[in-house]
Amino acid sequence: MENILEIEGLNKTYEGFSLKNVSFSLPKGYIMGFVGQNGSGKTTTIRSILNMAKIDSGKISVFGLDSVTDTIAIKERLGVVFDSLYLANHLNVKQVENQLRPFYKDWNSDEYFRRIKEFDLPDNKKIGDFSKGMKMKLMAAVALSHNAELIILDEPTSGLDPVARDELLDILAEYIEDENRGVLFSTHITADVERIADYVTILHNGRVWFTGTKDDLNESYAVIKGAEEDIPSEIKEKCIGFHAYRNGFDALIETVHLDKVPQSLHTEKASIDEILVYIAKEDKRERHSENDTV
Amino acid sequence: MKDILKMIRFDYISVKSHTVPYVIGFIGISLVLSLFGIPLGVFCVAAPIAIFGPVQELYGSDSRKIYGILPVRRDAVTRASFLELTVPLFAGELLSFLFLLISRSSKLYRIFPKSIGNIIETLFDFSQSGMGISVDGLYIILMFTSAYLCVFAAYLEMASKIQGSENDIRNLLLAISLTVAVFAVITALVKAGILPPLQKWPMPRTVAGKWLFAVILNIIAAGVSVLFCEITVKKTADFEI
Amino acid sequence: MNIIIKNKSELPIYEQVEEQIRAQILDGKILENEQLPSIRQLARDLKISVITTTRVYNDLADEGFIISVAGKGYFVAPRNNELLRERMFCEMEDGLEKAVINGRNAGLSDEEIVAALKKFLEE
Repeated sequence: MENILEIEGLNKTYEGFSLKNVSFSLPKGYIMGFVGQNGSGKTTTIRSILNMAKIDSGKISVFGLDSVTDTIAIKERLGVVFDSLYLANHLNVKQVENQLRPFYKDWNSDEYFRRIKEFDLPDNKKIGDFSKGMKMKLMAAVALSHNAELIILDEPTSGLDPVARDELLDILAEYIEDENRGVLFSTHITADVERIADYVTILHNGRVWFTGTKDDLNESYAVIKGAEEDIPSEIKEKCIGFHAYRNGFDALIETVHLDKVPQSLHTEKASIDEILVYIAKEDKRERHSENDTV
Repeated sequence: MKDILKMIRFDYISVKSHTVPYVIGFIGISLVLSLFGIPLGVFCVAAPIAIFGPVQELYGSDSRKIYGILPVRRDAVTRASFLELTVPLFAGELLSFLFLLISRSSKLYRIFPKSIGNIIETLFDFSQSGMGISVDGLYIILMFTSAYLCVFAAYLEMASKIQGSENDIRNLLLAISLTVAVFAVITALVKAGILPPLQKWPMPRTVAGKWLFAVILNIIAAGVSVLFCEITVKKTADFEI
Repeated sequence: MNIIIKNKSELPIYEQVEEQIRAQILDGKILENEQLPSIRQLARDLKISVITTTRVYNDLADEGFIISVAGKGYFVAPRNNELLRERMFCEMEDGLEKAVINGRNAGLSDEEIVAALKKFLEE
């Protein structure tokens, strides 16, 4: 399968934060949900793909082109939806079209105005007065008008109302009907990717915690709950983000260990949100126990 | 080159409605005034720079991110921003010359009642050194000012790009103090008799000589801004957006 | 073809979709030889992952409910299909088993259960 995006051993250090050996790839024709807590490194990864951040080491290729040396050729074929517009606020959609048109070889003005209409974006309003959802749709319209083959979304849904979020999913579902395209969708609202994403990459503290198909993720982890005295210690050790409270416990566990889990415990499937929460809990627990031993 | 033009066009569309009507209005008024012999048009020297002046403000604090998204070379973005400063400056200089010329030769103020016409004539009649500055002197001052402004603006742009726009005010004050210091030193040297007084400085006497001098001065200014531009391109090549 | 996806369901999405397509084929709501939407169309319509719909069609093809025609897409398998008949037979057996259990739980004799079944057959 041909990869539309491939990241290999990406390292990038800032003061107080670093991406460590980040590797994942997205095959052509699919949507990847890119999730993790705020500060886990999603935005830095995306900025690296766009060559806005200079990578320390590693290799990123988009459409098989190198992200550093071929960045212009890549951006010609790339659509970007960020959580804000980065265009002059007093412009209207027509002026935006006029402004962006010369940058893209494949720009299609008819398509742009068709999308503006379809997305109910007002002609005469200043884009600075647009709601968050309208701004998101404007960026999507731009991406769709230059025939972008890969769309990268960086937290587009933060601050969006449910209707606008649903509209975005509609846009993406339609977009990916063409099997030569791809979508990298970074978000911390995992319900958005739970349904539509084919692949999921979970970033935690600058490292890839999981990458693979969403089905794999769903089948690899489960939540167990029950009374603390019912859990064998060998299983307890395997638990991720073990959380005990007065009347019981809950934890995340890899499904490979499920056969050793006693029947008295309740197991259920883990949502991406739950997985993120347990990863964070595990992290906190480790830090506390480190502090204790010091 | 194509990328640079694309960027200038991009920026121009962003600022157009905010600045162009005012700049054109100002130039229009200057033209009318110069037709009546009032050489206020010389202030045009700084007017066109206002066209691209507020471009960064319009994009907001995270503005430069758009340059990371668009398929455009980074050095083209930098070069475009220098051109957006210097080209309007030179255009302003030309306009100033033009208006000075018009105000000297046009006698349209004669349509006014004699009393007003006389006031204008006495106030702005440079042929008689009415304001203590000769026309020659005005030309030279104009040339120096625009050449100086060009270098000044290019320096500020370079400092802003390399050190970040949060240091703009500091750099502006630095540049102004430097200018004041240079003037102070020259004045002191003149007073002390080490340098001859300004009027005695060797200046070209012929018309052709004056123009040649003007052209050379402008070329030097342009050269310095190109140098600043190239330094900026080099230094910021690895900057993050 | 009608498919709804329950977000609150414990069943994975692919099983929900498979179940509904199976049921509609068995009920005759989708006719034999009828063309199904493509993998990507179905994903778009339901706003679910392409991998999910791919899995649905692969599973249904393996079970004999649908057949894949290269270059044309997916079609509902003909009724005389061996696998499908077997499948329907199983479905019937399941139903009968349930009926018998329910009947016995209600304290009916075997004769009464058979009589009830006959009544259904005559209808």
